[in-house]
Amino acid sequence: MKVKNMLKIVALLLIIPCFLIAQNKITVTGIVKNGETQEPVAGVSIYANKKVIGVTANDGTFSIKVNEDAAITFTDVRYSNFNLKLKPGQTTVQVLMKVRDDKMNEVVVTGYAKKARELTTGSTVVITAKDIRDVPSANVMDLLQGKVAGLNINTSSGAPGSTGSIYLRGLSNPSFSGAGADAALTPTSPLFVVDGVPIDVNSTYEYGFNSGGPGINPVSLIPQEDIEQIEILKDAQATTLYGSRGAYGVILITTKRGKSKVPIVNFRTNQFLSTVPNLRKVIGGKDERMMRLSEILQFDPNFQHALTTIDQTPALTDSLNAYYNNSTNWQDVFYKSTWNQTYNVGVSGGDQAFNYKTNIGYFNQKGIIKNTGFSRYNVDMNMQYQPIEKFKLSTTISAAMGENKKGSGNGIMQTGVAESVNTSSLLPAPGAFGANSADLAQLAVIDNNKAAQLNTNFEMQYEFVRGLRATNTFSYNYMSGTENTFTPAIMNGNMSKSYAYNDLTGTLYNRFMLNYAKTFERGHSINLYGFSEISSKKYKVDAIQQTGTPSDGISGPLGAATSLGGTLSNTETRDVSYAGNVSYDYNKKYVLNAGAMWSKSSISGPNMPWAFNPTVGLRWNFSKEKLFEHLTFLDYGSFRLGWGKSSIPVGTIYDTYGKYLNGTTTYNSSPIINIDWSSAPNVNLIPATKTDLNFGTELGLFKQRLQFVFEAYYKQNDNNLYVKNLSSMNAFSQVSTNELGLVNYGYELTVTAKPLSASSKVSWTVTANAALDHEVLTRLPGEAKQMVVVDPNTGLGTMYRVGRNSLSNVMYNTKGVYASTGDVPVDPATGLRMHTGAPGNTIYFQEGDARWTDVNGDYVINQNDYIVCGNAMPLVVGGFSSYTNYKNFTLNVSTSFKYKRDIINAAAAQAFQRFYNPAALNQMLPIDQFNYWAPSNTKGVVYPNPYDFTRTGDYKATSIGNGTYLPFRADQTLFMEDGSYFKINSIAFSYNFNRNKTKKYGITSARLTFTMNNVYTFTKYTGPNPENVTDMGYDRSDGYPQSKNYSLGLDLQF
Amino acid sequence: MNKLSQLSFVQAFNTILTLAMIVMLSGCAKDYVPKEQEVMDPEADYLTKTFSPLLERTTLIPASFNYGNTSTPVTFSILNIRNAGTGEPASELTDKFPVKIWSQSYTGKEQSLAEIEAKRTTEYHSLFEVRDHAGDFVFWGYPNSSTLVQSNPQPGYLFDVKVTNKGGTRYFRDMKLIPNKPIPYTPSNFDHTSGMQLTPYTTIGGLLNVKGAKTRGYISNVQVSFHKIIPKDSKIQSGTSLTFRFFDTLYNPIKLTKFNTTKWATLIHGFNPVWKADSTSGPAKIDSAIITYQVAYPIPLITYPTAYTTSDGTQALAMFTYSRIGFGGLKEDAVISFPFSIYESGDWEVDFWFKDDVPQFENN
Repeated sequence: MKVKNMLKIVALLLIIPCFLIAQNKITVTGIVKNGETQEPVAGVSIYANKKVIGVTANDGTFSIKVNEDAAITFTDVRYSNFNLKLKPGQTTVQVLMKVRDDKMNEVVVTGYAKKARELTTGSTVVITAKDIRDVPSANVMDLLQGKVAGLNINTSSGAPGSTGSIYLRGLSNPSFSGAGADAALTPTSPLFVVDGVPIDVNSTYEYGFNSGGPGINPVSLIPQEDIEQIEILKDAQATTLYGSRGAYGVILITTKRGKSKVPIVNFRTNQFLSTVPNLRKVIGGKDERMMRLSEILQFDPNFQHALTTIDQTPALTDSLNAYYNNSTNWQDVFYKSTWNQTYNVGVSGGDQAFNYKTNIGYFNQKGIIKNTGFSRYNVDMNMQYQPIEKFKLSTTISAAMGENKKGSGNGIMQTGVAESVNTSSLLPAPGAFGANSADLAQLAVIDNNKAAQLNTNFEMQYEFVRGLRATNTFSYNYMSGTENTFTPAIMNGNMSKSYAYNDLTGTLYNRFMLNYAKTFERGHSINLYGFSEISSKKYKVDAIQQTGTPSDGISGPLGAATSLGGTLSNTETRDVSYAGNVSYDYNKKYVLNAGAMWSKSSISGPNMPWAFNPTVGLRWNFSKEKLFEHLTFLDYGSFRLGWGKSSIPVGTIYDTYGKYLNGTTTYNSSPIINIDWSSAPNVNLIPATKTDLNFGTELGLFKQRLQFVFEAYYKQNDNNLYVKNLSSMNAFSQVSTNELGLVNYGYELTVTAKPLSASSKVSWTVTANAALDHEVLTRLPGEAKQMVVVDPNTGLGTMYRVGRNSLSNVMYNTKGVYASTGDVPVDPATGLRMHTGAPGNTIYFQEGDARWTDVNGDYVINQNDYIVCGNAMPLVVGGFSSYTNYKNFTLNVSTSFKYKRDIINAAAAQAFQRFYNPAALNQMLPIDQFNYWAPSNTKGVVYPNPYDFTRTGDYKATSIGNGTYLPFRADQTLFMEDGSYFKINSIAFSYNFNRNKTKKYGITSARLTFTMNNVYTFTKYTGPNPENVTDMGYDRSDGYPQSKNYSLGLDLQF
Repeated sequence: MNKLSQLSFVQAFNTILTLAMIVMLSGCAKDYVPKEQEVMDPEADYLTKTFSPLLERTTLIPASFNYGNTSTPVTFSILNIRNAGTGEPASELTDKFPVKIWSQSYTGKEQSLAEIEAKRTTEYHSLFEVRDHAGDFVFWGYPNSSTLVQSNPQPGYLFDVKVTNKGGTRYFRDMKLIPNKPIPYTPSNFDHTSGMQLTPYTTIGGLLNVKGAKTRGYISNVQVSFHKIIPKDSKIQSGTSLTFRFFDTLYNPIKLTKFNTTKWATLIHGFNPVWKADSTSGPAKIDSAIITYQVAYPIPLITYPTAYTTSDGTQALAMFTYSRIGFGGLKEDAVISFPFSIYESGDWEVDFWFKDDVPQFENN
């Protein structure tokens, strides 16, 4: 209350001068409301004679003194301007502001400069807070799924706080680390710029499973409630001036600012229930025991051996054991629904001269897997001070802390749980005497991961002469990630283990910019700006691991049996760039925009000159031509063409200059400094370059009731980094070179429609978008035209072939099952049936075996029979969303789809693979739903005989590599499925309380929301979820399933 | 009306312009990117370039082709096969001969000779072929081809291999084919170069518990000789019989009944065993010293483990066994296991000659 009183006094003091000047004036009072939702609108500036004469209060009311005949204008960035002419004697008005949905009037930012959309030549999309506010999410990027044409967000993990892969306009870099199920593509996320400060999420991922830091992505630290607007810059015309890191696209996030003279307090909470999706069915108890017994007895050709196997498996025979016929539901042990909440309080206020905002938020989501979860705490503040029109100063401080519990997984995958869940129901549930220690690890391991982030930003602007402005932006971003894991002795072979990880990233950034804008007579106007940019980044990672600590209570620092520790990485990167840009327009009809950036990075080789990245863009707003003037249905229409180049420094400083290792080897018992022979230095390493050409059309028809944006693009990625193995006669084993190239081209279409007329009481906006992307590999290392990369860990291969999409699978072609042994082809020369197998263990095909195509006709199935097929990247991605409003009710539906993506259903393969050893006590999944071969079912069968366990191998990587007969190996066309899907991402239903009813409690606006998230996925895919799939299109069964969330939200404004 | 026409004009204008731009852009995009094409790796090569199969038996020489980064499948063909000495085209290798091929798989469970023969047919093939896509060489066994085809130590043949796919064609020139002279059976006593027998007999190793009647020591010297005979039994089709005989030190026949535990019915994959007495013995079966089976050649028919072969299936395995009460009343099981193979069809007789000492068959 005290604050309120004080503010009243301040307001009074501010108003007093007005009284002194005001004469012959009348007092006008009224209220400003949102024309659609009838919510009062705070912070609307009221102009008369181009002077600000007032701002609406937080309940939308205003009181101004104006001349009787004054033309009054109400302006707010969110709404179209409202012009008011007072009728004689009128002193009260109700102003209904119209929400601005005319895409032409959006203000977009490209290259750090704001522009009206009709003057931009690049490809950009703007998403406002309205579209993302209703669904509580640990990561705002997930909410953009299906909302932006060309933005493919692959939420491969349902772990709270994890970030899916983000691809803007297709795959940009086909090189990956690991392969097969564990493969992760080199991240090529767009650059995030939060309030003008770049945050790079692509680097520092190497120890955090591609999500930055110990499993926490910096994007997860951005509070969703504080976001005012998200802008996605897609083509080089828009992104070139963001320099190297913007080459994969730029996502600009603008947080809220104060704009009401009377402070607004906004409180928002979401209470949500995360429920476990349908987990797989398992076979348990007596059924499982009988099934194992019958498999052994029926399909072991040696009866004695079968009896021995049974006798040696007590879980099958020990009828005196208390756990005989036990049935543990392992999934139930680990998965559970959780109740979660978020709270956010924002205070903002001020006017053009001085405004401020403070936002405090808390987000907590416990994972549906026990001992996992994510919580976020953040405080954000910004302030802007503009005492005179020439001088502006603004600062931002935002601090955030994320806390992530990973259980025994790595944040993305839950290998620990997967191992435990993959346990026979015949074994007893967790307990220290249990057979399975991974299950206890999930529950008993102490695991704490924290990421703390502090972003500060300080910006000054001064206008020396009219039109010439200098701006300096300085920011420092500090991020620290720590991870502490303690595994008690009982869990780790009687050796307690503690692991501590610590990383620090400090980024210093400064940009100085000069801007000159002038409008000449006859409609010519130019805008020139140039800036210099320097940034310096320090990154240091240390880790320590102690095994065999003195006790479970004392985890160090002394007394451990083995102690490992040291610095994993310690790098410093510096970048300098200079850029300039010229924009010219004639009557806003013809627009030319040209710019260039020169940049140099410390990680490029010493032989690398300054990278020169030019860009040119043209725009023709043809609807402003006289020819189209009388076309009343055409609101706006334009063509634009943009071309640009950007370069991305790749690799690390070690790739360029090599590395010395200190003390790893000794000479005469004293440590020496030795060259690191693992990677040869390559001083000719150059940045990767991206060149793109973008053509766009924008059309608005029938008073904005129908709006189209169509874009076609061609994007060429050259000189991508590839780590090449060197032949063994070299001293070094690997070298990094710039020898990978690919091209993306495609089309994007966004349609926004308002099917109902403007006079309708229901307002309904539908937006649909789709993007079609073709990706073609154009260059491979050593000018090779084709390469097969086989992962030594899984034995699975990926084919790179010039002219083809880069992520192609190599696999056996399955053509059903041999109904009888007589169907197996016979080699006419040797008389042998077709066969396969590891050396010394030839397996001749027989009835019930997989019928793989013998591509080369040698009657042997081996790696020469692989075919190349599939594409792990979807052909079309898009979405459809609808926003309906009727009186106080709002219904917001958002969907997304992917079309034509090939997924390897390894989950199904694994269900069958479990049968390879009926005596091994792993989880058994029912396979009744599959049409598999059995002696009684031989015709038209899809899957081979799963029970023939004596002839099949163990499905380990070595077995896949050496040709062991594995009828259910994942790399065969039998398990490659179409992963197209259509998903209802969210349905949000909200209700605005009548202001009159809430006003007496001091509440100016109250909104209640009910949201369902991850509602339903329509798909023909037979696996658990076509989305929960790695970037390489591999549906691994140890992923973190996506929870369905039901949320109740309350949004109050005081 | 006027408005309408203008409207349609604008619509048409917009549509055409947009379409033109799309077509232009997508057209040029497609021109910029390389078309997917198959690849012929310039470093792909044969790891072995000299091949020496044995004549008169069908040999599959697995492709020693290292594909490198070549797109599969590729097409192989043999070109220009010629006499290495004279350079003349080698028509003997390109002419077609009737050879036996397998149409169904041999399992070792066939019940008659006819059933086995039903699984084989005759096809015309060149003696040296390459499999179209696999690159395996097949050297077909044709009887008496050693009289037509050059063999070691003659210089043999040179040939080129053309490897082609849609990405290109490569030639591998002057690969060598130097066949070795036929070796009709194993254990072999032939010299590979001359094709002549080095000794008139071959030896046998797998003797277990076979003790001599005279010395009471373990017998090791058993000489085995293979030779073709003219079957006296008219029921046996010529070229499809195999006979076993045993001789003592004085080359007197040993009665087969002495091998009292031998499973004669499943000794080899042969049919209708005919027992015959030696000319010096009586006619009864119990006195017979000769057993003749009706068989299909080669033996074994294919390299596939069956009940009649060694565990790796490369040789047939005949086990002659007997049991006796030895010293101290101990039962002694003796085994003469004889792994062998015969590649040339004919009416073969295998003679075992206990040269130094006869086995002690009787109880102690």
